[in-house]
Amino acid sequence: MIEIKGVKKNFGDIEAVRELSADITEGKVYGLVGTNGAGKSTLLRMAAGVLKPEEGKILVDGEEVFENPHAKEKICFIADTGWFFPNATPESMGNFYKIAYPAFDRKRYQRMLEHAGLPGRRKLRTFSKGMKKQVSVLLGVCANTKYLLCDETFDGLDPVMRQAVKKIFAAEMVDRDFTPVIASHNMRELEDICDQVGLLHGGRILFSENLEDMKFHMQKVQCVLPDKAREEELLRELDVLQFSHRGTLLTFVARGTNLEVVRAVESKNPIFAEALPLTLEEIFISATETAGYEVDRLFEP
Amino acid sequence: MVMNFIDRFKSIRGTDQGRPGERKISFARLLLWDIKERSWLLALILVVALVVYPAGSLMVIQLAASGRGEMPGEMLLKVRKSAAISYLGLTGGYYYFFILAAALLAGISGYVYLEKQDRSDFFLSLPMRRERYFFVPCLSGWLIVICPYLVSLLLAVFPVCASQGVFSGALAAGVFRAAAFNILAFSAVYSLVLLAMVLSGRMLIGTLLSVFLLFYGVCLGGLNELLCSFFYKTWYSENYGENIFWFSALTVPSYFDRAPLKTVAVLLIYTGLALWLAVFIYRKRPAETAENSLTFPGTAPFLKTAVAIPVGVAGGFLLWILVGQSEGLMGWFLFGSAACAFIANGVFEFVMAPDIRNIARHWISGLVVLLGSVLIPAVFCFDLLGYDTWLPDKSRIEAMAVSEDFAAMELANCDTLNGHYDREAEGGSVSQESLWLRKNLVEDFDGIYELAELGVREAAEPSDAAGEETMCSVRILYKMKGGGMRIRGYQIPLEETGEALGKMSSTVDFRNKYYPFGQMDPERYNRIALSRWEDPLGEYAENKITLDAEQRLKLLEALDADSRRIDLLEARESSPLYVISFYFDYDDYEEYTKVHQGFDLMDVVSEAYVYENYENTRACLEELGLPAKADAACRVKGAWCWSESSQEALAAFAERYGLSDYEKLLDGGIFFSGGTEVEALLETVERVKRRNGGSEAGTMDFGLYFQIKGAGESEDYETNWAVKLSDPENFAKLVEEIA
Repeated sequence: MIEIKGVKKNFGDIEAVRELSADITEGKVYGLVGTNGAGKSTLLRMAAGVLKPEEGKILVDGEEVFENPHAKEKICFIADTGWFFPNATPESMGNFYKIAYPAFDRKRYQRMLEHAGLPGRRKLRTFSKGMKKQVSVLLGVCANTKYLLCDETFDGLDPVMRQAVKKIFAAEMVDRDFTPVIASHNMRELEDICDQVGLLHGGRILFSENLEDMKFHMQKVQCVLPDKAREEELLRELDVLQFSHRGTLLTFVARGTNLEVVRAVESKNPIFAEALPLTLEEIFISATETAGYEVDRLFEP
Repeated sequence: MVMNFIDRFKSIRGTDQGRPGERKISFARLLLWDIKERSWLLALILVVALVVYPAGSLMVIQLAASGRGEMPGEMLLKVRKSAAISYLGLTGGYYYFFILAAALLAGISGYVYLEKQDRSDFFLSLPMRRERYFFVPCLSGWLIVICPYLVSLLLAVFPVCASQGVFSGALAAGVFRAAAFNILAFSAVYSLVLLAMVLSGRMLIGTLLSVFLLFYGVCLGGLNELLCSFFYKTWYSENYGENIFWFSALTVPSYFDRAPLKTVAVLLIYTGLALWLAVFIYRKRPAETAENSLTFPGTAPFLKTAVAIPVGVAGGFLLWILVGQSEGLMGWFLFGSAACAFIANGVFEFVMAPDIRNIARHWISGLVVLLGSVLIPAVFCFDLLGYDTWLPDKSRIEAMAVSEDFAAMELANCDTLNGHYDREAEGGSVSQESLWLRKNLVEDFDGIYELAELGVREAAEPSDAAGEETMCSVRILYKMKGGGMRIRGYQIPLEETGEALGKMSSTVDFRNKYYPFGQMDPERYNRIALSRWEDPLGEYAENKITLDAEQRLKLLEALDADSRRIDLLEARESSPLYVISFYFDYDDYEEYTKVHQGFDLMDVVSEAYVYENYENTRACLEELGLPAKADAACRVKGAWCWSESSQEALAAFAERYGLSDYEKLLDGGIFFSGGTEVEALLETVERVKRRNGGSEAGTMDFGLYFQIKGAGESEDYETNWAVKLSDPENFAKLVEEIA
């Protein structure tokens, strides 16, 4: 397990991460979502032992990770802008990973390169951004570390490759002790793959929960109520994260179980009421708006 | 059992990080990988080293033999061997260039990954301690330079030197001893480049920082030397380069010939300290500083101050030189210094953050720069620290010494002609003079202190007297009771030195150290010649006799006993009977070439006066059959006469005595041809031991240069005299006639 305990990191005057605590449990895909500048990359860099937290600590299986090779052996970090040696080929990068991560499975890496249609001996500098990302992911997976930290790794991958990577992750988790941590803006992708999600905003974690639990405790409802007074009453009674009107149609996201929210709506004798499936993106937007990050205010003059 | 052993071994290796049996990242494999990644540098250095060493040494050995076809074979081989060892050894500008270029390339290419965040993150996320990873590019860079160097040196020593017939065990030993030193010198420079790289992480800033670390000491020392010599009247340069701890790893190797152990120690200190600091900073270096100009931005103001102030002062000094460098123009120095420092401040800020708006950043350090750039020139211009007027209380001084040439000019001329006894081995450099002063400290220093007081007074309030004829220069070493040593150079009016000289010459300690005929090494000469003081035939070659060891020692003992007994001030005013010239004959050509590049195979070591009351010496000379009877035949072919006084003094003299064509006495002199003319000339002049009278003292200084025909089969030779005029009127008439 990766335990993040009261971690703080500043870059000069900028507070990148503020007293952040979360646990990343083993055997689950952890998704790290957040606004731009929320501190996702900083958190991953700290978890990879690259950055030293100013306060708090990050423990990997009970050991502090910074300047601890034993803890770092369990982690492979794929940065958002993956770096390769000048003139490197996928094959030569595999050779380097074999040195850096002795458990690196070179044969498997070769096979995966072939399956992905990536030429092993072509210079990486001639690859497209997406192809480079694929190579990074394959290197990370084949490093055979317990934790794989991917920063914006899915950006730039084509949908087929994205699905393939998801499958690889799933297969890895079945085969061995493997915990991927994926930071991304792309909620749709994370929604499909993540078991647990940490939502970062302004250097703080708004929540870190199991995705299913999150969906269980947050509901999206669309309804038409007989009058304005009942509508206001309903919004007061519920812990509403977000709501909008389209004519008389009220759409809102509120905390609570499906039963609790539906009962509250039904108590107002709605003319029409319907529970809608809640996406991760909607959860993200609702939660961040509650935390003061409103889309409408973003570009206000 | 074997398997058990292997398992145990694996287990032991695995416990490196606390967990038995796990496979760890391999340092050696990372090292090889890094070398492979930088194979372009390896190839480049190999090509350069092959050109410089095997090809270069072949060329040098062959060139050494060219144009020496008439030289005996054995001698030619020696010349070729000497060329090989000097080329493959330590010397040569290319050597410093090679070290600097290789260190910069290896250091910067190894740590350039720190420049970009993605690269930095990649390496810092590897499961390895930072200090351990630091040594991967560090060691690989070192190997990338050293391996090709050693390979090409081996090729130069064995196939090349062997094929040219100059190989020997001594050559190989010499070359590899030099190589060991070169490797150490490279390591020192390289480790400073690494320090610069971890302090910055950026290629450009790292290069500039390397240059700063490598040259700052030299530049600062040079600037200080320049300013002191320009502005302090009593400044004495102790050859600032001797203080090798002050200087950079790049310049220190040049001291190896003079102080090998000290140089090696200094280089080891440089290497160790720079590496330790580099590792320390690398460990502490926050990963987020990638792409910053400096690892610790807080160091920028200090660096800027360290760079901008000397740049400003140097610029101001240059401006002051350009506008005329007079004391009344000191304001230009101060203004120029402040202006240049201001510009340097802006340039520094711009280099650190290339945005014109940033040049006003760090304004507090900017103010310090401005203040420093005005204050430091002011210290020099107005002697704010009282350098020139410094004179410690006698109670604080343990011992003092006065310069050899002063003692020689003002006192030693009493007993020697040229004022030096046995100094050739020490050479004439400034540093040698300071060594000489250190060796000749006297504790009974009242006379020297008196000289120092005169010097300080003259520096504070210069007298009207000026010029070589009325002033003498003197260097004085103060050894303080705390152990410190200081040397000052003074200008003192000659006429005021009498009392001090009297005190000095009456001190036993001073006489023992400053008139040390007893200390002269008998091995330093093997022949002597004796000439009469008033005989222009001088130290004629046919009069030389060879002395055995016993005779040499005996003569020196006699001279020492006699010269200590006489009153030096009295002797200064009287004329000796004879002059003994001590020679060293170099019979061995090779021995000779080690000492000289010159023309004569015979070297005058020293010359001593023999006064009438030198009883011991005269008895000793008599035993040796001296003085030999001079050849009665007049062999003086002629004499050049020229003036050593100033043009103004000579013009006044010419007007007074009706001499019209006096300028010839300044430009090359007038030639008195044949015995009769020379005889007439000698009646108007008197040979003197020193030239310090001049027109101010009522005398004129002239030089005579006699051309003398050798007796029998001997070659012609010359003799040089200093004279003053005993009969100026007739001298003027004679000159008028001849001219």
